[in-house]
Amino acid sequence: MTRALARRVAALLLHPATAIVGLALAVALAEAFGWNFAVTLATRAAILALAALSLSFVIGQGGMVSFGHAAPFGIGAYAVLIAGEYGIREVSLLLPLAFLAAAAFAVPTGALALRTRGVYFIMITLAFAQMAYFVFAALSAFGGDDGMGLAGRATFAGARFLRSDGNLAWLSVGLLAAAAWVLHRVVAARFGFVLRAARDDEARVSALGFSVYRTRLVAYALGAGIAGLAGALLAEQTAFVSPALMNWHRSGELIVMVVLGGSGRLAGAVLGAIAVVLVEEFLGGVTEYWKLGLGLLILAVVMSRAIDLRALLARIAR
Amino acid sequence: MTAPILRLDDLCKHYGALPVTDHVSLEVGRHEIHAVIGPNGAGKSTLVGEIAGSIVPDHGRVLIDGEDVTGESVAARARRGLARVFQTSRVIKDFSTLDNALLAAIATDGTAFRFLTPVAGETATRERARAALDRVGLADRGDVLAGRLAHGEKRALELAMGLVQAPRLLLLDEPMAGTGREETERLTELLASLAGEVAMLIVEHDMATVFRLADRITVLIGGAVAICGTPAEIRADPTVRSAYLGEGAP
Repeated sequence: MTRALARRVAALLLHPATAIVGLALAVALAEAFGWNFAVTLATRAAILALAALSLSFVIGQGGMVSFGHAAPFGIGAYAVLIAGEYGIREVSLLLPLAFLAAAAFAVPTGALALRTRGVYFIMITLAFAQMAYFVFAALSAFGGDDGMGLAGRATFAGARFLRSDGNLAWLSVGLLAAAAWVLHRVVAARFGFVLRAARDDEARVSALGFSVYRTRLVAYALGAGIAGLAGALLAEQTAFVSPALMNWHRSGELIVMVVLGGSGRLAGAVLGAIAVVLVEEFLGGVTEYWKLGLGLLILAVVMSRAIDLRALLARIAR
Repeated sequence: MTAPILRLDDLCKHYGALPVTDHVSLEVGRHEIHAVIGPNGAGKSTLVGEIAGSIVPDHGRVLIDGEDVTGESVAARARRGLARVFQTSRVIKDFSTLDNALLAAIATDGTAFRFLTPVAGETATRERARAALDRVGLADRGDVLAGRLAHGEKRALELAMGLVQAPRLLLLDEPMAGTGREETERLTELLASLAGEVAMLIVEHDMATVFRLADRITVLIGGAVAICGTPAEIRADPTVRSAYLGEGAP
């Protein structure tokens, strides 16, 4: 009886929706008490959670293990930088622009990558991301290798709404919640239904008359577009954009977040992202070898058979 | 006289120097059950692949309903009314039995590109899926994960997935493979009940099933058509008897 209750409480605490509500609460509290550091941390967690969520959709639901998700993420950030240089500083324009730029990158590269399977798909997505990395590193007008600072934070309907870190935090958490809701709907709708079926048995699904290739390409572009939104938010937060954003390390880190959260569950990545950001922040403050700690966490999760942070914690809670 | 639902026109396919489909021509009428039999390695599975569109022939044409579909994809042929039951059961293991049928039902009414309406709310499509399960005797197994179904039940589910699409041609690749005696009889009766409703091309080793169902039989040996005729003609043919059916032939 108590055990069942404990399990239920653990499940509730570790529910992705709880994590998003938790982020919102953290922002509210931090704002109320003026803890700027916590606002920044929660914003960063929400932004990376948004990127990881989009990758979780591509990997977990679409069955496409992309090792190049940092590319659309970085392209979203560059969309903000470049548009800013041309005088576009309106967030209601910048966000759709970042989405479209990232999706526009994903359509042709995905169209080629999706002709391959398995490890070739992993390698070709990595290769495209590295190509994007070097292209932006060569763009000397936009900082080249070193990157470049933004002229200033974006406006909202002309107002300097995003000057406040708190408002940026709310925008980030709000977009995360909206993306989680939309993707959740998409997974339960026909599109997600066919996508998941194709993940399990591609030949079966095409024999039924579905174009698996087109379905996957749309999912791939949708995931990339959302990663672009996350990149745009990160550019706003740090007011700085560099090619390092689309480094392959970043792609790997996003995969780690997805795996930590459990790739089978769409929004598990939100938990994975929060875990990574917290480990980075608190262990990183203690030692520069914080990645060792992250490595141990990954090992612990993977070894515990669960490959799923939530299942692990639920077991501990029991 | 209307065009046959399926026509193969001088199909050829080589793997290296080995001909696996050797100038095969055959026709399946609109209400016909056409069986293809032959020893192992006769090229039956390749032929099924060429009809379904997963294998591209070197030469020759595939016509569905009089239209040349040789260059068309698997999905495009499926949309023309070709439903395939695979040799090894191909159901979506992580989906429930009903969801598998639902997937097939969705395939027939057009688009996968519906992003926000939950599948769970598509009542009409769901009813069609349920009716198909009912037809193959899986009505009370709808909530079970398809991966957990018994082998014979998976075959039945595949058949339901074919039926829900209201196909014009059912392509059955060894539907009885691996099923027990009783299951085989049940599935055979099920297919027999569909005779006249939908045309079938059935590749099968179980001779009792073949002779029970088929209107015409094509015998494939070494990738080529050895003979094509009614069950009575095939049974009487001396070359087929010695080459394939053996002395225990029905």
